[in-house]
Amino acid sequence: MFRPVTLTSLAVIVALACLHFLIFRPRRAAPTQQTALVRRLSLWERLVHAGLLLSVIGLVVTGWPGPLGLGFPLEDWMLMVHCTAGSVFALSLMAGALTWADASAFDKTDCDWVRKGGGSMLGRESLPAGRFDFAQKLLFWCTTTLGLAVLVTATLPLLKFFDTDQQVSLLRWHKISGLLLVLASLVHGYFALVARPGGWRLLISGKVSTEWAKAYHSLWWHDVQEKERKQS
Amino acid sequence: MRIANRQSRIQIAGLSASRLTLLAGLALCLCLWPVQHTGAGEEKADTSQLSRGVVPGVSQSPYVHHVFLHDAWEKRISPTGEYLLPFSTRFSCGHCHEYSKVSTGWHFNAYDPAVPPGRPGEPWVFISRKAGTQLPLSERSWPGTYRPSDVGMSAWDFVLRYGRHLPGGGTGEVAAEKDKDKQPRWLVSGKLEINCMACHSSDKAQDMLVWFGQVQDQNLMWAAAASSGIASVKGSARRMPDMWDPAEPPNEDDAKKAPSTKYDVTKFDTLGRVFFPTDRHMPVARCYYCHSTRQVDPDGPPMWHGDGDVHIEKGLKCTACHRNGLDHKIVRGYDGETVENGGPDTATLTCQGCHMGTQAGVRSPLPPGNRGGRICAPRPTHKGLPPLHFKQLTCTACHSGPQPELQVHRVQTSRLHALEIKGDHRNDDAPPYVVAPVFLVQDNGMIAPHKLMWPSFWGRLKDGKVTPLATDALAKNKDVGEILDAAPATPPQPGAKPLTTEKMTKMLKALGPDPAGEAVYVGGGAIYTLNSAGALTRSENAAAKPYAWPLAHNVRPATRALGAGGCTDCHSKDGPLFHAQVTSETFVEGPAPVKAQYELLEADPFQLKMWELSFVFRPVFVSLCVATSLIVLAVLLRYLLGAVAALSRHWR
Repeated sequence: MFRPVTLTSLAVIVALACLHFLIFRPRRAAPTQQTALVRRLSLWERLVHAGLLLSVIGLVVTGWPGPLGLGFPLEDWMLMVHCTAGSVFALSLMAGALTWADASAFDKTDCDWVRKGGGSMLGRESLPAGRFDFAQKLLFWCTTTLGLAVLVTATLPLLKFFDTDQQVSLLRWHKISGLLLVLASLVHGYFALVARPGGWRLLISGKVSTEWAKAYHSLWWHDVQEKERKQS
Repeated sequence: MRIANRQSRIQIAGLSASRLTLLAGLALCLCLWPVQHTGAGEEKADTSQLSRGVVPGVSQSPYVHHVFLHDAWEKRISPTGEYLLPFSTRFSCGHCHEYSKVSTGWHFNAYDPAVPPGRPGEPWVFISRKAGTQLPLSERSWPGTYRPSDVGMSAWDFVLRYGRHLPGGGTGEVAAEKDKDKQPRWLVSGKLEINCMACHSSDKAQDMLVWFGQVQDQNLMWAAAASSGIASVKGSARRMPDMWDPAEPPNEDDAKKAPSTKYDVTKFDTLGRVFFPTDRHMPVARCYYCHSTRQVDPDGPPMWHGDGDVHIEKGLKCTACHRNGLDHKIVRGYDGETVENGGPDTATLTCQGCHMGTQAGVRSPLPPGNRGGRICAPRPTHKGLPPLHFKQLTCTACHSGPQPELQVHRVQTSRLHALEIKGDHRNDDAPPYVVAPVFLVQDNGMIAPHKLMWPSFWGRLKDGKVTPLATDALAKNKDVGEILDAAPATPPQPGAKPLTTEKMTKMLKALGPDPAGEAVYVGGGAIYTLNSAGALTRSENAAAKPYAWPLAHNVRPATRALGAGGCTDCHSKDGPLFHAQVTSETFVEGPAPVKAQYELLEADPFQLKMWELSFVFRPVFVSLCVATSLIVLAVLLRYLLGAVAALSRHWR
């Protein structure tokens, strides 16, 4: 059952991303790339993000081939790597939740974002947004909740409280929550890397162009400028 | 008036009483018609059952076995007759029970090549300590075993050698007819018919040691009667000439040595019948006569300290799970047996079937969704045991056999070591050398505990294949005979090995080259040959691979299962599942080769080490996961509650 559901949902996500790209991408003028850069993610944040990204890749590579019928069941080396990636994921998830929760709290600007239909995301004009816009905040809370579900459903069977049936049930939920987490991560990846050119810089340097900042996160850009002015 | 009423009552559907009677008569004739037209054998069985009012398998109340005894010539036995013959089970028990069907059972059908071999089981072992031989034999085509005929053993030789633990039938009865060379002896000794009482008797006087004695004396026809406690037998067919006919009284010269039967007249009732106490669920002691296992551990606790199989301790009998119908195809109880036998019941009589209930996709007589299994078997919870284990381990891996230790011990069994029979052979060093529990991967990919032995024998190597030498071929070779005779039959001191390098070299030279192949000795997991310089060399060959068969008993309770003490019962450097030392017991002098369990399981030692190392950190890993989960949950709750508070303020 996991195999058809996974393959179908992955196909749907890829199809939707292509559709979105074809419909909205050409209409929107991409901000020009210029030399002036502004720091958006600190080293710590990039480390946490890298931890999450790599651990999820590790978990998918080791955890999915078995249920997808590609051979390599989750045994022996695969299980060892899966558990090791799981510890990195647990730590990164916790660090991410503590680091970005405050910036991801919903506020009044999100109401405007929703009311006006998503701004640049749906091919309209960019709407004022703080450090994260509504979609990013929503994705953050979704991925954090799903990440917690993945973690809990993997941890509980290790405790001596659950019998075989309950463990099997928990592991089924582990698969489902893992699939949803991967789907949410793909959506996040599409918008961060493909739909918004320049976003890839964040992963490496943590910096974005001022044009990019003004276009997608104008309120945050003003805050940054305000801070710099005060400091100077 | 009353008569008129009765008449009107018996008029059914407008038919009068006379017409009803006529119709009933016709119906009865039609019902009996198939009975009259069955084969001769079936007719006898059916009519006898009808005449005695016996319909097997209908009532839960067992039939009380007051039985007329018949001899092998179908003559009814009177205990006061002049020349008495032993009763025949074929014609006494077979009077009601279809003997031909019973004889298709697993206990009797090994001789028949048409019968599927099933999962490898305990073989017979040809042993010669002097010659350093322990060769697994089976009439079933189990890989790693040899047929008795491969080593020149006839049905006659086989029955005399292993008859002590044979239940009769099969080789002793059907195969005997094809044993042309020994036909005169078979005619003197009679056939070794199925000894029904060996299993079914609940009489404590049923004595299988007497059976053994009778087989030794070649009194095959007399063995069942003598062991039943109903008759006593004197004399020996061994001492009778080939021309003697047991149906006729012996002449005066032979009278003293000929087998003679004397019945205990007190066992016969006034009608001349004998009461056989039988039980549908026979006592476990009956099974244990052939199916006992003893662990050889001089430093271990005495036998009375140990517990038996948990099922037996709880009051079950072997037949609770190992059931059978009249065909005596007793359920062996392993996974996959259903596929081989095609019976739906066998799937529910495995460990899983009884304890876990109905499984999806398995034909079962139990109602769908039944979760309790059979005979009130408790449903195991296996709390904290990752379900992955059920894909890789059989139930028996954790629950069966002697408690696994870091040194795998030798075991001795009834059939291989004649544990029930008093004699010099009954000592800790007695071959064949069998060790258990040894964990091996079965054909279905599951790890299961096994009993294991390394074949040891002299043979001929040709084209990479080793053929064992016939049992008498060694003795016929004069030089070899002298070398073997020089060795003591029993070890001079415990543990002493009969084969030295010098002796093996002499033997191989004496056997010499032959068109059948180069002379070799197989033992301890290797083959020994002479090189061109005449020196002994050791190499590997498929013939030297161990023969192993799965074990399932004694079943240990959950508290004594592997894993009851936690993951490190197995996943640690002291875990016997991977690190137990298995000695390749051999007759060759010098230290026996030792293999670690993980080698036999073909596990990667580096991976195993890493895996075990991970279990050192497992508590840290679990604590980390729990702690991070709680912190993330706290963050989510904090902002969720904050959002709820903000919304409530907004709406107010």
